[in-house]
Amino acid sequence: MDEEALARELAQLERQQRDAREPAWDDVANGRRSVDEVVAELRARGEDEAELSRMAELMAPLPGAFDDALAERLVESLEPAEVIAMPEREPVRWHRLGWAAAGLLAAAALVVVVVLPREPGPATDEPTPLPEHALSLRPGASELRAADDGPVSVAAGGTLRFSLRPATSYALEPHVWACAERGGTSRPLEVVLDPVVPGRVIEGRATIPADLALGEWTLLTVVDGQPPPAEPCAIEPGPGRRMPRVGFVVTPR
Amino acid sequence: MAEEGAERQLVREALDGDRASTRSLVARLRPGIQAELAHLLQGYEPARGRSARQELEDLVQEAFASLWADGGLLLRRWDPARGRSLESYARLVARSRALDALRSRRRMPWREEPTDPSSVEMTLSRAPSPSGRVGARRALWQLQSRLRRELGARDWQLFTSLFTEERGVAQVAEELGMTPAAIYQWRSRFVRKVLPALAGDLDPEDG
Repeated sequence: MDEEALARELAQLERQQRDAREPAWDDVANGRRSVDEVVAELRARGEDEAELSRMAELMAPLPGAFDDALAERLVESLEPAEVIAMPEREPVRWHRLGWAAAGLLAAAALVVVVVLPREPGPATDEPTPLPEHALSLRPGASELRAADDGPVSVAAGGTLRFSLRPATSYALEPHVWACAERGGTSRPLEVVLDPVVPGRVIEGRATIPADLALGEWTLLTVVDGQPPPAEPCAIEPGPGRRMPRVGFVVTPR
Repeated sequence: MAEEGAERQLVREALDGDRASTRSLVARLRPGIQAELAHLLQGYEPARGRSARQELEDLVQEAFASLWADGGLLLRRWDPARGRSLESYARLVARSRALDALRSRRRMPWREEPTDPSSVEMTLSRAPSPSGRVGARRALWQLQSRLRRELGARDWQLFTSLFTEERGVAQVAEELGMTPAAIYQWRSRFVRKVLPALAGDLDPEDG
């Protein structure tokens, strides 16, 4: 096999596919034409209807709020962190760094990092007390707050951005997870956290399952000194665990 | 040139944390990134329970996060003197990052062929017969699919820059913050090891 020739063939395939892109969509991206205009033109040319529909969905303008929220988070990602005290901890499957993780970690690299090993002390089962946390939902690109400042609405399958503000500072790096509750039922939610700085506001987003029933729900967030148990939504409050809640509404996709 | 100078200034101000400049830069780059990712996602099926639109929004955000990561390291590397516009550079980063993200999530099955096979006329020198040529084309698509699936963001950026765009080693080295020697080493390894490994069981005669 001539690998050089194969690499050139692959490169040519990439170029041809790039060149074969419908240029009208660039007009949409640049604001020169609307999605509807381009769809009408391509439909008249007999383009595949399913492909047209998909591309129209993808190319539909993003709301101004999306750009604004994005810009705000980019600015925040450049701000240096302050408290850097990192006790040892077990990895938690509920923790995943959010999309801004890289930026915030980069900011953290600008300051001196002090790693404090856990002090050996008397064995105890007493959980480390955590302060109360105020939970709030932040409307983002895919969430809408009701006009009367009522509960945040989110489409099934969308994400809810939340923040947890501690009443007082503390040094423990907490574990955070979330559940959707209604009546006697609850569902664990996939949570993506921005990098957590102990004692500072915790920010993250929870993905609402696409098959979650429509209507009013309660978002339960858990801030805990310990990792989540096997049944993360079947828990009780305690001194080492804070469980703030807030309502939200699931709307059709 | 004046416009490029203005763009560099805008980048500097945004990476200094200026909100107005950041909003302006996002507004300038986001449409092109959205279009780039829309074309990319056109070739995928969304993961169960997710819409293509949701995937797009996530990937747009991840593209910007990559550009701003490490204090804006990637964004600072853009230099119009290297022959690439800011939009083109942002699109390349977005595409590379998106491929990386899609691969790591492993939640979107890849199509093994482009959307419109008739738009691509490919031949491989080792496929002389008509059926062999069809098979060769299919094998190449499959190899391309594997390449997208397996290469990390940086590898994809290197492949695109060196092979697809046929840019010079020195240019690519500067753009990616690598030494020319490291670029040559990557290229050699890609051609001699990575490509054969990916192409291993593909049969161009299997039409």
